[in-house]
Amino acid sequence: MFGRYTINIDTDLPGLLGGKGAGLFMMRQMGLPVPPAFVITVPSYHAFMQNGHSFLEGDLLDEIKDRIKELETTSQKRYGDPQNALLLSIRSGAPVSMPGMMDTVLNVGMNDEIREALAIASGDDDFAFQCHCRLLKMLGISMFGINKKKFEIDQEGMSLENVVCIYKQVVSEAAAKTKYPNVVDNVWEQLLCCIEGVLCSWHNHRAKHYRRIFQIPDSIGTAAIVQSMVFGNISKDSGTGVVFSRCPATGDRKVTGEYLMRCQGEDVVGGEAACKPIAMLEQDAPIVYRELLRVCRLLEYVYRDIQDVEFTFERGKLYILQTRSAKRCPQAMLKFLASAVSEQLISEQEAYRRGNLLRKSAIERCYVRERVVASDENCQIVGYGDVACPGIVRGYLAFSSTEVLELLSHGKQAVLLKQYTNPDDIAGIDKAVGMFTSSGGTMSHAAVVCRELGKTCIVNTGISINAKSGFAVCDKEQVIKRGDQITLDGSIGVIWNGNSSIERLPDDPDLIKFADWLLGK
Amino acid sequence: MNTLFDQKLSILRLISLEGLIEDNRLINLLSSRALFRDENEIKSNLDILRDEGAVEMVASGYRSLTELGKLNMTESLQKKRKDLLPALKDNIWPRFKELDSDLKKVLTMWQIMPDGSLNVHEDHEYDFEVIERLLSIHDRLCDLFNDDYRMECEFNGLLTYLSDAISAIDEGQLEFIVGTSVNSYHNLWRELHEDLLCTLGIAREEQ
Repeated sequence: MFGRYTINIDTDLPGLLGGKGAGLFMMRQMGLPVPPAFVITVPSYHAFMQNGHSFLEGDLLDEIKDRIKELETTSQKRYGDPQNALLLSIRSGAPVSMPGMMDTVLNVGMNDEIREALAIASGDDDFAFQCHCRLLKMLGISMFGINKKKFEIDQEGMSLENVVCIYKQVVSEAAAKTKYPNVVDNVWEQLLCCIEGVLCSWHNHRAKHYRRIFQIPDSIGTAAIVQSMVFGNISKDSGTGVVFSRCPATGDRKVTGEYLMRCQGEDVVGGEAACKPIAMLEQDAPIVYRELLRVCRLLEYVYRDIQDVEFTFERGKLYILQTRSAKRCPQAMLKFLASAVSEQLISEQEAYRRGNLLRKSAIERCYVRERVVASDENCQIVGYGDVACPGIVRGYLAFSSTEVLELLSHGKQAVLLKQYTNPDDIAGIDKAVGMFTSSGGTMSHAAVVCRELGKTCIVNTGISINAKSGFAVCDKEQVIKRGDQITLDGSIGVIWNGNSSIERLPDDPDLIKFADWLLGK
Repeated sequence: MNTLFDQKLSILRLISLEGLIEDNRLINLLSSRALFRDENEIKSNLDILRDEGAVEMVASGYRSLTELGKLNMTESLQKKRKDLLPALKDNIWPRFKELDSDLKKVLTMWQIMPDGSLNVHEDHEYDFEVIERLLSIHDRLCDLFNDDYRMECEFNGLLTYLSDAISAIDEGQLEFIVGTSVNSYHNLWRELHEDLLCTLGIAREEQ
């Protein structure tokens, strides 16, 4: 089923291991540096649910213990041994992407004794206390449903040891009446509690809500990944980050992303810390940087798609924690598909298949790189404003919905000019090719309607309107009159009067060719 | 409560909200509401309103309110809610304005990504976050009107329709967020907004 470099694409790995588990499995097969892990499979989740959450006392419990022994051998650490403790992360991983909806617990396998030993081994008390605090907080919130405010204590003048004591008390009180009353001190209770909690998080309120909205069947279930922890916050030559194998905004073939020295993954994703651009890693950790670039190329080659890669480096050694297809804008997707065909990464047929999954309107936006040019000397810019909905359109000036309808009845396209974006112009907006206003903002109700209808809209132009007399006075005293030819350049918020033409700007020829091809042009 | 009165008022309110509206659109939007199961009843009420001089045909197939229609609508709403006016003005309206501002931000987020590009709804994580914000606004709106039993009764119709839109969104019918061809949350919210403006005699540009 698996070779070292090739994969049988018929294997439903995500269905068995969940998306995240399948990614780890694949990376391990490719020989990439992945922290040792095992996966509690999706079928095991179903067995767990069918057996009233009690199967952990049966065969699976024995298998989990066997797998922990394997992790101990691979990592040369022992679970629960203060002298050389193996700490674990327990993560959910469904076959379909449900980012952030289910639970994850880090630093599982920690208690007071192990924390003290970890502090000595790392030579860093704060690091050990922070790891312990993080575990207790995640355990409390995710596993026992404790309100996170209970962990938001004023730590001013308080030692980290006291903070840990308070956190322990909060969790112990909640755990006392459950089947894991000693979860704070007993590392095996911790492990089972977290596995059970992560599997059950498939049914938490947010996850169910997410599935209902995006019509993901409840019956799918999830996997759980038990993985050896690596620490990006353990030393000066440690860190963590996220990279994309290509730019997700443009599709350009350049590794982009960010990282933090001496931090854990959540600090990067949380957005609270000031991250460094990935290029700076070349100075901070050159070996890690070069290895990371190589991994990105390899992952993209195997997955044939832009990859979003989470990594940590511990004492100068790189670990890849996760890879998945990157979220990217349609423009970047098209650019990637066009480039991937040129690079012989994917076939034309595959590019065509994937490109066709994009909405037609998204593909058409590839041609947005257009500009308005004056066709004669009478054509000029008469105003500027804020773009509420982009696009370049031409039509004849109308001051009301009725005028729009009248122009239409004569086969003419209309551009509507109003004092402000008034919702009761919806019929006019619907029938006009675009609208512009004197005042009003880009977040008004009518701007919302314009965007929903896909009508170009420029607001806040400052144009003074005299609709009764059929004219308006623009920025430099230029006058525009009812029925004048108007062009709205909603890419930059400019209004033209007179005979204009729309010119396509030079763009990536591969991209345009590919978009033309997809649209059958 | 006089049902016929409410039906006619709802028709006037929708025409006022849209400015110009075709009969088909008006019937489609109204006939999916509990009050208007019978299309013939809507047509008959439209005829009555036309005969009364409240509604006129301004372009082929498009209806609009006459000045008399606008006046009748405003007077009817204000008369009907005479006793509620102080509470509406002092309590409901200021809090509604805050909610309205939040709603516009959320709907803009729904349509435009943080980088300024149009949302093509391929990022479910982002969309889910926006939907959660929308649901929170709806909860706050319900709290606002449910705090006062008289308000709850008076605005029960629109609040029920707004809750119906939320239920549809909750079941994955995402066109019920800002879609223009259905009784979307945004369409109904605008109706509620216009209703309050009209009752309180506030011009939109003054708000």
